[in-house]
Amino acid sequence: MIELLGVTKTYQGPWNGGSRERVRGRDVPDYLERKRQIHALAGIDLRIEQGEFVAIMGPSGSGKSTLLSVIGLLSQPTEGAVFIDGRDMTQLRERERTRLRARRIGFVFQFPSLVNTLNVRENVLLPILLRGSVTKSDRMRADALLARVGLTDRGEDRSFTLSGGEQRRVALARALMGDPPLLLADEPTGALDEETAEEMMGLFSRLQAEGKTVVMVTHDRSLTRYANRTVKIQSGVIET
Amino acid sequence: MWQRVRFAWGNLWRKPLRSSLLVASTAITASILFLSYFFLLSVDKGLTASQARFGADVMVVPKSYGAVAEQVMISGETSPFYMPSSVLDKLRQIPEVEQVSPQLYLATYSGVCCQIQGDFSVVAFDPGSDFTLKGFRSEVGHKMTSDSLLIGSEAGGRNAIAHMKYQAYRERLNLFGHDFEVAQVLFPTGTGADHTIFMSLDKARTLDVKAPPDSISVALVKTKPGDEEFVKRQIERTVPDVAAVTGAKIRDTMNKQLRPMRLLSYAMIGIVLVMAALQAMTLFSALVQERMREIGMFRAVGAGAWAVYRLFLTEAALAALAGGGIGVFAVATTLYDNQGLLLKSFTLPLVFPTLASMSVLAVSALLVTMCIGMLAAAVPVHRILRRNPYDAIREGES
Repeated sequence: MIELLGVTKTYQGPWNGGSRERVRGRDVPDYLERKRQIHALAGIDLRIEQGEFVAIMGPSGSGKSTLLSVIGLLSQPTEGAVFIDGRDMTQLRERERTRLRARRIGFVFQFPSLVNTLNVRENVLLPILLRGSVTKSDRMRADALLARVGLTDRGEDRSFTLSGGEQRRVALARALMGDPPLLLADEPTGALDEETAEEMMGLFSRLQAEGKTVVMVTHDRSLTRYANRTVKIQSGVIET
Repeated sequence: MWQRVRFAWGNLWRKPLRSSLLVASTAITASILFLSYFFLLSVDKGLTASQARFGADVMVVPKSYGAVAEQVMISGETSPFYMPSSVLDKLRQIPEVEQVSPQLYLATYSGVCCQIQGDFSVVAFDPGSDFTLKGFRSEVGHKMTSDSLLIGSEAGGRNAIAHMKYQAYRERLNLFGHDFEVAQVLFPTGTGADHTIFMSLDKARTLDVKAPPDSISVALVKTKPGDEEFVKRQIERTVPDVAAVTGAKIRDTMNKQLRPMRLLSYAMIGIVLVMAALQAMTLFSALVQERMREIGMFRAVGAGAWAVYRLFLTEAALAALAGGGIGVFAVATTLYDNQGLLLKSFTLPLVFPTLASMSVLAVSALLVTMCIGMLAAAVPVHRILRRNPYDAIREGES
């Protein structure tokens, strides 16, 4: 279970010409106070149950991706707390957060995130490759995951030879490499045609059916039908 | 490990032009490093050899020439004064004396030696006991026999040295009615030895020379460490009609004069290293900046800061290894192939390092270059790793 309590994420904006805008509850140097504060998230309270498929929707700049990054331990909230299975993640050290990301969270990014110099199988194995040595069983698991996303026999191909949809599927297989219980996807069907997007969403649905928690950011209303729940966000605040 | 190395190598060549520049830059750094140390080592060895020339801890001359003995030692020019060779036995009897080597002034030869016209001192020395000229003798040339000569750099040595490694090279000189062959040349010393033609003492004794029979001009003495002054006093006390002068003061003066040159050389090497590090850092900064999103993505998929460091350090090490290897190999082969030419061109006394020393030098230059490359990569990577992964991804997108 994931629980966000009063999560606020503030960024330093450009120089504000001297007008003062204090960051609530924070002791910041004077020169920073004069910078414009951008509230990407403003006091978010959210609870996501184990095995739930949640779609986060909102216009560009509403804070969807920032929310996903906070849930995925990719950034620390300026204020508030993030609990995963009852543990406050904001109190953890970066090393521990990294370990949790490796074991419990899988990411599918909005941008093309495959490494061109590696082949498809090596891309799936990337999390293992970066942390240490790849074993035979890792390779077998990578091949099984590739088969699962419909890319059997493509393991040896260079990643740049794949279509956009195929690359997203490889990214999904990579996210599943560590068998994480939580899957986070940022616009996983962005720039894909309708048919390919449907295939991709079908994969997410099946993963949810297997008990994985899926949190997906999208601006495509039609995709929300795959989710159990849709959370709408506007200007860093969840709309009720 | 090999998987990571292969991954790093692939990453390195994603931007071929930039990586080529990086490799070229490290090649230049490694070659400068190797070249500088090679010459410093050569000069140092050469100077050590020069010191060995003065390296006679004590020089013994006839008593009446005591006043000019120090001058003789500095100039390295043996003069027409004589004392009986029995002095040598007396010197050898002093327990603190380790080695004694005589030299005998024979004549001044006016003529052409190895296409050089001039007046050259002809001196006889004992190749068996010699410890002063030994350090000066170039490795190339023929074996020294009783019918061959050793010539100073200004006595035609410069002309001969580039050719000495070719066995076909034969330069002959007629002295005292006997035909001699030039066997070896001496490195430049900046002393009178440069203008001297040396022959073996045994041969000189058989020739019709003006020097009194069974005489020597100087005796060069090597003492046990720290016993120079004691031996000097012992000689003056126990050996009649000779004067002795010590070489310690001369060596100290030489070292003092050379210190600024050494310091300057090391400072230059230091500056080159700093420049190379800054250059590599600039290149890596751009490279890492471009891959900021990728670094963020690596962190997101569970790679720790050290894993990312390790990847980039491997890339830097590979670039440095490739560049450094090319640079060191190119310089080493060029130097090895052109030793004669270099010896001829330089006025400094150069004694080239052995192949083993060169190999150690090459590996050291390579390791230093790799360290510089890795340090240069670590700094910009560290800067990005201090951000949280999401910020790195976002900034990498912009």
